[in-house]
Amino acid sequence: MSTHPVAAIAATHAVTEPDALMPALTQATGPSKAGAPTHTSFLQMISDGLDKVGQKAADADAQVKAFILDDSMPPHRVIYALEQSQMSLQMMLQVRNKVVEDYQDIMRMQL
Amino acid sequence: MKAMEISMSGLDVEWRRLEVIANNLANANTVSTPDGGPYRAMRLLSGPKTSFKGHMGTDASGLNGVAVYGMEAEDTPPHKVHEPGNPAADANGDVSYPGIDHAAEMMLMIKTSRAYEANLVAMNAAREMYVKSLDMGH
Repeated sequence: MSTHPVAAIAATHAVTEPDALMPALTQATGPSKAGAPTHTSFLQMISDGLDKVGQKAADADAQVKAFILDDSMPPHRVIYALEQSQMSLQMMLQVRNKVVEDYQDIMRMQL
Repeated sequence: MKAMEISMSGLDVEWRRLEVIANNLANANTVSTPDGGPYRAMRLLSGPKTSFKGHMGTDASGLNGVAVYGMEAEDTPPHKVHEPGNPAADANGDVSYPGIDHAAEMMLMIKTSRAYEANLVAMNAAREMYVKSLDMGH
């Protein structure tokens, strides 16, 4: 075989698995089939994470409201809920930064 | 985050303990209660938080924080003071005041307050570690 090894691998992959690079996206956009593999896609993970951040913010909101209505409630519960909300938001921002950074790296790639 | 949840349970318990101590001090001169007799100093009972799941062995770590088990009255005898004019006096003219040891209550209060602070420090350390971990790769 005179072909370049890397090119050869790429060629075989292109033939056998045309969708090899995009499994996550196709899974995330299409409705999940009963026989589909059970691993969660990246997009699904991001989406779940965002839901959790939203949930924590809502929890913190509820705690603040409860504290205003009932002053027998210990203040550390409120601060804890706010702290949890802030921490998950920071985590989400970091994930977003990394994703955007990687996306820009790929966009700048010389072809 | 488990570490913060554990510290949180500690904060809850110590807060409750302080409420119990405050109640003891507030009732230091309560000579009669609905149950009859003088007020009795209460003590908060706390211990490791366990769950059914933990007992069944599926959660091997067993680190669940602390929980309030309940309250128990202290078994200290009331101290009798001779006050014949007091409406709460008995046949001998003695009034039974709660056997609350003020010094002991104060010491317990300081211990409680320090334990609360220690839990806060542990929680802040956990938070600090979490925030530091977000800086990874920078």
